[in-house]
Amino acid sequence: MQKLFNFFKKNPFILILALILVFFTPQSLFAPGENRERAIVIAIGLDKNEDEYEISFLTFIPTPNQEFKQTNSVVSGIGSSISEALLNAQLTLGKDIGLSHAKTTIVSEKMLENDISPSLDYLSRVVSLPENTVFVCTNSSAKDLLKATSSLEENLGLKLDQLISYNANEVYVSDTSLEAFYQGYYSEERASIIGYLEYVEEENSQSQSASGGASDVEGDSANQKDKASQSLSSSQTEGTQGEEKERGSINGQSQILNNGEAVLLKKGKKVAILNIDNLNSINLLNNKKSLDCIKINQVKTEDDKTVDMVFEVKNKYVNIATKIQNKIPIFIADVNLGLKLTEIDTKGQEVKSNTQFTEINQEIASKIESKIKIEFSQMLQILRENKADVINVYDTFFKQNRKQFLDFYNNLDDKEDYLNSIIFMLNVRLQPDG
Amino acid sequence: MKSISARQTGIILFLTILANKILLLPSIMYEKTKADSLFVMFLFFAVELFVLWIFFALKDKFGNKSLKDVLQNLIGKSFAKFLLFVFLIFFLFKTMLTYSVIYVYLKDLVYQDEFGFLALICFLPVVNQGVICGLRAMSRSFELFFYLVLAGIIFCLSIAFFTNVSFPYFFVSNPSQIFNTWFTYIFSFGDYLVLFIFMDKIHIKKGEKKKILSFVFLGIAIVLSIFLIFYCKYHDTAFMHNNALADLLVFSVQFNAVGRLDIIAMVTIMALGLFQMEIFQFAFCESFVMVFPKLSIKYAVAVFDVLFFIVYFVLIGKYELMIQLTTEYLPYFAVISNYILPILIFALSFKHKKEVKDAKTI
Repeated sequence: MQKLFNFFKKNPFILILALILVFFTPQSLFAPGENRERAIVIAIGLDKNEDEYEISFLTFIPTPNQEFKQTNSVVSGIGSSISEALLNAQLTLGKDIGLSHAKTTIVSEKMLENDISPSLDYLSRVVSLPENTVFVCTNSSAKDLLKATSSLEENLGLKLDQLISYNANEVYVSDTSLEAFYQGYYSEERASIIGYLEYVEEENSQSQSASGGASDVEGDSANQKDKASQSLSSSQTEGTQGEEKERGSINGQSQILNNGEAVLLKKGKKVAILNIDNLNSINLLNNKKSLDCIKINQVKTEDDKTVDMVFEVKNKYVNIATKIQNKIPIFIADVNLGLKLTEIDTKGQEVKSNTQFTEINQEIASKIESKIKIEFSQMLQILRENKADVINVYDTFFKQNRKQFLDFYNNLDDKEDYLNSIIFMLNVRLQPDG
Repeated sequence: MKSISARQTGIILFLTILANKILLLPSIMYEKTKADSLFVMFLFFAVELFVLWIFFALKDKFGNKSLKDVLQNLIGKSFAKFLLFVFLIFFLFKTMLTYSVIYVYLKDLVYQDEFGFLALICFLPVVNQGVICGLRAMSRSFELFFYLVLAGIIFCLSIAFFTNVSFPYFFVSNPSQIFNTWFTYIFSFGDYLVLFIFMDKIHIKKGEKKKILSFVFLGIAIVLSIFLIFYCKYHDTAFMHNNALADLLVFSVQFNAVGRLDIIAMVTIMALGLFQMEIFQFAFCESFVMVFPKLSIKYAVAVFDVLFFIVYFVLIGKYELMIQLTTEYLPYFAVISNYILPILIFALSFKHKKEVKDAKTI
């Protein structure tokens, strides 16, 4: 005993460690599992119905099973504010929510009629919604999309954030995360782009996907089992497979259409939807994006046949310069494209042409150039109309001609409308690739 | 006497240079001077290197004498005790600031609820044990974990390059704003003061100063790289990210699928936090023992714990107040402790030399 006493006297911190173990180990051992007190949210949806907000969570429920299947559930809460809706959703769930794993945030178009930032601010600042969550808008309600997503994951193993990440890397060529939204929102331009996914019901989905040529991913198809849905005064809980009762018109089929579209936001509000051509024109100025197809019609071949041709952009080099001439800013973009002829639509004619080596003659060059310029000017028109500079014109001038540009900028009556006072010059140079 | 080598001294300096600068500071400085905060950092390090030069000069002059002996020789017993007491207060608040910054990080990323007391229970025994084991044992631990910590930091930095980074706007703040920011965040610096406190325990052989300087410049390069890459990545949203090093790693869509990469940042930051707290607490305890020579280091540790608890949890209460305290009131104190006192000691050392020469002449 004396030895032990001396030992602790010599090493008092071992005694402290022992005390900590004595007090905290039983508490930790007998505490209930974290998942019994906290729900893991993997996606979050925000909707607005008149004066009420609806917040929906796609939650992951850890349950022991032998199928390696993940059980998800959509839970929602309604309230006059985001915090109240969140609280109601938690009441329904009977658990606190943890948003650290929320990889997708979906908002309905209606939410974007007003500045979305204050709503998101609460979520990211107070309840720790991570800024790397992928930020997506949908035409329908966010809740419906979440439900469709849930079954999408169950049936195809395809996660929504993976779908959007593909868009972000290949179509938008920029982040469409909450962080990217905030970067645009707090910048001088106050404009940003976020992803857009269409939610369609069976009746019109077939026609849309056929006509639009868009990729569509089917969800909810095999999940017709009835599942209990419970509702409280201001909130609802639904299983992944049992929402059809509530939406009689769905008839068991719902689809998520990924057209590669994006939403243009100005000051946190939706101002336009950008189609894939608009996005390609935006990406024309982006060195990172090179994979693209250009189709030109009515081209004459060597043997005097008229065909349509498809060229693939194999490589691209863009040089952007700015100058101020007579106090007018000029934005000059030199775009060098390496093209490869990949497809010829002969329209039923017999064409004898060697497609091994791409040749770009005067006619082809002029048609491609004119197509690129028309699409670019259409895109520019949208940006000018909405005063939304998502092609970093302000940044480029600020970095290259700061003093002269600020003189010009500070003298503008409407500073937000600077895109309309800038001259854009697009020089396209085409080269055959390979 | 158990002394530490030049390499161990260099590692201690490396760790203290990183203290309080790689998590919260880049974010809160951005609010004031945007990306020009990088120039503020250059200014800070230039002044800090001057203080390091003063330390080397004093070390050359006084050899293995302790700070207490040096001060007693220069200004007498009472003033020496007063100056040591100033250092004691400085290191108490410095440890609290380090704890606060680590706590903010842990609260944001690991726990969502307030858990200050629990965190302290986890931190203090480990830190106390390190201090009681002594400087040499601590330095050996730092040596052992040095490459692990360095690898963690480099990993966090390199991951940021796989995401979208572009240069931010520079030269948007005027000189007055830059100096104002410099003054506001001065308490996060003054790291070389730890060397003054245990100068008698540092054994530097001839030509080994370069070794120490190489660690110092490595530390400075890492801090500046974190600032630059952080601003290149976040630009206008830099103010929203309170944990620079961790956020460089965490917030990227490209790495969403990889899972909890942030564990690497977590381990690195936890290790750094513990080591830095150990160094600052040790400096406090050494100052305490020099002020109250009859008391042992165990008493100093106990006094530190009690003071920490009373000042941090009873008087200050919240980490936000601690940060506010170090940016609004403590900068005045830090100017004195970080710069005026070392310069004063250096100036007095010339007088001492002159007096010795005069005595020899007589």
